[in-house]
Amino acid sequence: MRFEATGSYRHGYERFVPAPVEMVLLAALFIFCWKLYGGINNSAVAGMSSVVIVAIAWVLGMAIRVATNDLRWWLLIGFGLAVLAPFLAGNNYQVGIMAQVCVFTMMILGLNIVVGYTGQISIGHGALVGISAYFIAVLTHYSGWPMWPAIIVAVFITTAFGALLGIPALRLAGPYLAIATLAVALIFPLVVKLDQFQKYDGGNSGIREERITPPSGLDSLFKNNAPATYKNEFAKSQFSQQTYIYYILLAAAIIGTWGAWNLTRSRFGRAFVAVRDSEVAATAMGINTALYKVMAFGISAFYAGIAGALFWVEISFVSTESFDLFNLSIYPLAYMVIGGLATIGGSLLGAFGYLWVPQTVLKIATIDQGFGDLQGAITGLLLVVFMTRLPQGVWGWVLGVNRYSWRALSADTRALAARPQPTFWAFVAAAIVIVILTGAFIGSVWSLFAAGLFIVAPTSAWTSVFAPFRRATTSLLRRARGRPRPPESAPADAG
Amino acid sequence: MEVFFSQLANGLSTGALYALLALALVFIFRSTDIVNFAQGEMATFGTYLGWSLSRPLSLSWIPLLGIDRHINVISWNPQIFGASLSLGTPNEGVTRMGYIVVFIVTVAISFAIGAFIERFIIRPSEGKNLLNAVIVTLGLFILFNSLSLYRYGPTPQVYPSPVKAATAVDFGIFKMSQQALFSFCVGVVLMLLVYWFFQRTKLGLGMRAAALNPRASELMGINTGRMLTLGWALAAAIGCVAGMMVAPQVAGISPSLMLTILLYAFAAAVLGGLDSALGAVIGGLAVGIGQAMVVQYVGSQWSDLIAFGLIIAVLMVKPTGLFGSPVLEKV
Amino acid sequence: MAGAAAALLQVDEITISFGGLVALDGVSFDVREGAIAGLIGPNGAGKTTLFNCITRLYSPDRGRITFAGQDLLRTPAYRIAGAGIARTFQNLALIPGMSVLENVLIGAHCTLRADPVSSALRLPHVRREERQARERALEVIDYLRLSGVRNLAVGVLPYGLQKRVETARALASRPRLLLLDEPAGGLSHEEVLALAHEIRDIRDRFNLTILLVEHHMSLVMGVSDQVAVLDFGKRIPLGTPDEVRKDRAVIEAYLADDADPATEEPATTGQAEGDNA
Ligand SMILES: Nc1ncnc2c1ncn2[C@@H]1O[C@H](COP(=O)(O)OP(=O)(O)OP(=O)(O)O)[C@@H](O)[C@H]1O
Ligand SMILES: [Mg+2]
Repeated sequence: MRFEATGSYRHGYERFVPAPVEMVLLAALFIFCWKLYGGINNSAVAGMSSVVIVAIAWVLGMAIRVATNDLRWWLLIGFGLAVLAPFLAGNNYQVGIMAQVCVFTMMILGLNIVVGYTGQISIGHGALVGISAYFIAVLTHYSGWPMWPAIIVAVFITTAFGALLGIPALRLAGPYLAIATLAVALIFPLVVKLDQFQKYDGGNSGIREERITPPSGLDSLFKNNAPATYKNEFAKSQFSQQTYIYYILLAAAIIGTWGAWNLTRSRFGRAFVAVRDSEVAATAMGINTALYKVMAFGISAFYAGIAGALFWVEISFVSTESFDLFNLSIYPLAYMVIGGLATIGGSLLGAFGYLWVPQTVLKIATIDQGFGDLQGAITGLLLVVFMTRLPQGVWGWVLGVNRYSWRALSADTRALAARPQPTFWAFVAAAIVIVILTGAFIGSVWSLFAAGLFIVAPTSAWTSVFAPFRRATTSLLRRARGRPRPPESAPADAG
Repeated sequence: MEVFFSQLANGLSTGALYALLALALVFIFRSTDIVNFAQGEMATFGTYLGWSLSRPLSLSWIPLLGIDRHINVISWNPQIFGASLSLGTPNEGVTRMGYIVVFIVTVAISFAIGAFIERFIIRPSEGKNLLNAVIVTLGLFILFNSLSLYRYGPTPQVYPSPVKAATAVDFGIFKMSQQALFSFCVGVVLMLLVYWFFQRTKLGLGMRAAALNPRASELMGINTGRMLTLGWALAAAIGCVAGMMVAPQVAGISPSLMLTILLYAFAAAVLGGLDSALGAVIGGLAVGIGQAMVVQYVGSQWSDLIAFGLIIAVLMVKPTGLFGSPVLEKV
Repeated sequence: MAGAAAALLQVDEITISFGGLVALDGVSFDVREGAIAGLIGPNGAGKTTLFNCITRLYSPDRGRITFAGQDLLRTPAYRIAGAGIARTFQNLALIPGMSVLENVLIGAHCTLRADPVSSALRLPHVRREERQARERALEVIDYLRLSGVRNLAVGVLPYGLQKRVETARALASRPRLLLLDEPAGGLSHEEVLALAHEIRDIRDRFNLTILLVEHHMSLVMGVSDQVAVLDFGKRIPLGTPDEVRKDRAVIEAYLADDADPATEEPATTGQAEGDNA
């Protein structure tokens, strides 16, 4: 074969499509774009210029990819950005979102241990986060405990509860377990809302406490270094508080990620995967599958408990609304899958996507009303496409596609020029036409959306989505030319 | 006593709807081993399609495009020989004849949607592990929920009914609303139809065979792939009927129309055994009556709690439910 | 027969049935410490079922299995590996997405002691243990000539290599008794010859006792110190390969199919039983 793709991809031209890592940059470009388009009334012009912008982003993405094909660089850059985030962000709202990313990093890491590594589905994790947050809230608010002991107790209780949740997993397989955990997720807010518990847990109105404040030394440090956008003293103190909380959460998330990384690379991580893939083999190798399932649920609940604690530290407010089925059980699961099952990097991406995809959608919705309602549709669509076509998730692409060198790239370019691949160019042409059409007829935002879709989904996704169609066309062509059909080759994505 | 019997009748009526949805779940579970979390949302979406069909002829007929949220609804009322071609008018609602047409067309569209989903979304993930399938249906769940919200908005819309929905019928010892009576009858008729279909028709037998033993039935010349598609299609159609029966009984059709109903249907299906059609029917009726009684005599806030508690309890004690067959394990 | 004192594994009157089918019917035999014991029998004779009973994936209805003085029927399945019994599977039970090295490390699971908390914190003793396990795994991988593919996902390897990975995984648990279920399945003639040599070498090098299930008669007869024959749940004779080869019941029950295709009627259990008694 002419192209030696490094991942499980067969076609060389995947390399010409930016990998998800560059998407951060592209997303920034997008935001810039729609601000630009806000003033353009002529949709066709908008469509055309979006093609140009996309082309620029594409080339930039390629350059970045080649320049940095070592994952450790990304880790370093990510760490640096995370630390500097409060000072880079323009307002507290964004710092708050970053803090939430930390909260959900913990939750999704835990979820991934039980769902991704151990293969036991849980739709009930929202309840675990809720239990932890509620215990802290009740202990501090009604029993007058200080926060940190309350957190320790709550995390222990959540861990124990999670281990209990693991017990159904011993008897129930896949779909049954999904239903059982779903029921747990649904019961939790109902129990909290019961009239009988009203005076212990605040019922419908929830519990609010003062957020923690930074010690004076840090306070003045943060205040003095607040970005210029924070004008008055009040804004600065708000910034200082939010930043302090963010750093606590960031530290927890980093330690949690490190722990999960270690754990999944220890005998426990291997045992979890063995339990997932072959219980018989696992048992024969001396792994107590029942114990390990419960343990996976326990560890996962520990992470969920920490997430609940961080949740409380961040907003110091709980109500049953915060722990509803969609927001805390289904969406995190969805973004975990999109990020990448059974990978730590996938969990981080998942937490990021969980918060930033809706944010981006809301931004767009400020121009195109009603678009905000599509947030779920986008998530659902991504989830379905990933699960059916690219079950390794975004992180799988990063590992599979993002290994480049200039030499490989130029070799590919030459090969592509020497032997043009009709599918590839047809794909590019179709992308341009669709972007212009959507721009002309529906609106600039939609044209950007279409363009984004074409970029964000690497060709490998599109080729596998269109694979049946392509096979049909080639076989038709072949028949038209009177050549026999070659034997069926391996499926396009061996992932 | 009248209260008791009225609650019993109402319980039977909602129970029949739970039974329908549970039946849909069971079809899919039996044929593909998948629990379809999207069942309720698919039904909601189908019901919305029916709703827009029963509106005056307009661009709002085109599903998915959110046009009417951006430009004013363009509607017109085409006529032939003075008779309206529209199935409904804004003021008087849909005619009885119109209702039947809408009903049939909606069911047909839902049928097609179900078939489409099986063929193009479920089948590619088939044969991989069960986790994938569960997650795919969760994805469909979010997708349809959000599409309904985007396309039709959060405000409940009045769904037409061929009967005077709110008027009660007095049977002496109990009272029942016309709509409840109507939906109970439709539910029973549909269940009988399903029974007849699976027991008496060749196609139904083929589907049962394909679900029981795909390999063997493939050898017998049954196209199992098509049977699975048909199973999903039927499930979607039945779910949609349930949706159309529910909508007039509640405040109207909204994106969350089937959310709780699906959960009760889960309780019903789990209670009866996820792979037993008879179990689904009995489970549905039992859950319906139980709910009515709990709401009447215990307090409405306990009804959801008890239903979900029931799910967990049944799964813990007897995962195969009352009528399900035990799961065979092979090493 | 070998003296009971020296027997590492004693299988005593094991009976198991599935529904109406009696898969094993009062089977008993001993395996001497350090021996290579062959277990043969026609398809469906219950050889794999016997393995499953020994490794406790199945629970026999009656009988006793003793391993180094330990009553295995009182040992849960996940303790078997720790007790010193490792096995391979007839139809491969590897973790396809993991690399060869990781699969072998799973085999070493029962030799590791780290707890979850110190694993998550990667404390020094965890690191040391992990490093030792890795070294041992690499040794085994090297020994079985898998070094070239050790970082590849097992799922993409050819069948023959996968079988070897299974052996490596079993060896990584440092067993005293190794159960091999049809190691020659799918191998070419030359490979089978090499395998015979390899099995002996494994026994000597790792100080093992081996129980070998195989259809390949020449392999079993060539390599085993003692042979047991199963015929539809019943054990026929136990002895040295030569004795077994001469036994009429064995010939009728098992070899007849291979040796004499003209034989019209397959040997019935009744005949075999009669001869045995
Ligand atoms: N879990 C089970 N449930 C029902 N029957 C079983 C089970 N396991 C084994 N059997 C039956 O027990 C009998 C013995 O099977 P076993 O796999 O032990 O044979 P074998 O000697 O290993 O054959 P082969 O040479 O084909 O591997 C067979 O008839 C098989 O169908
Ligand atoms: Mg066997």
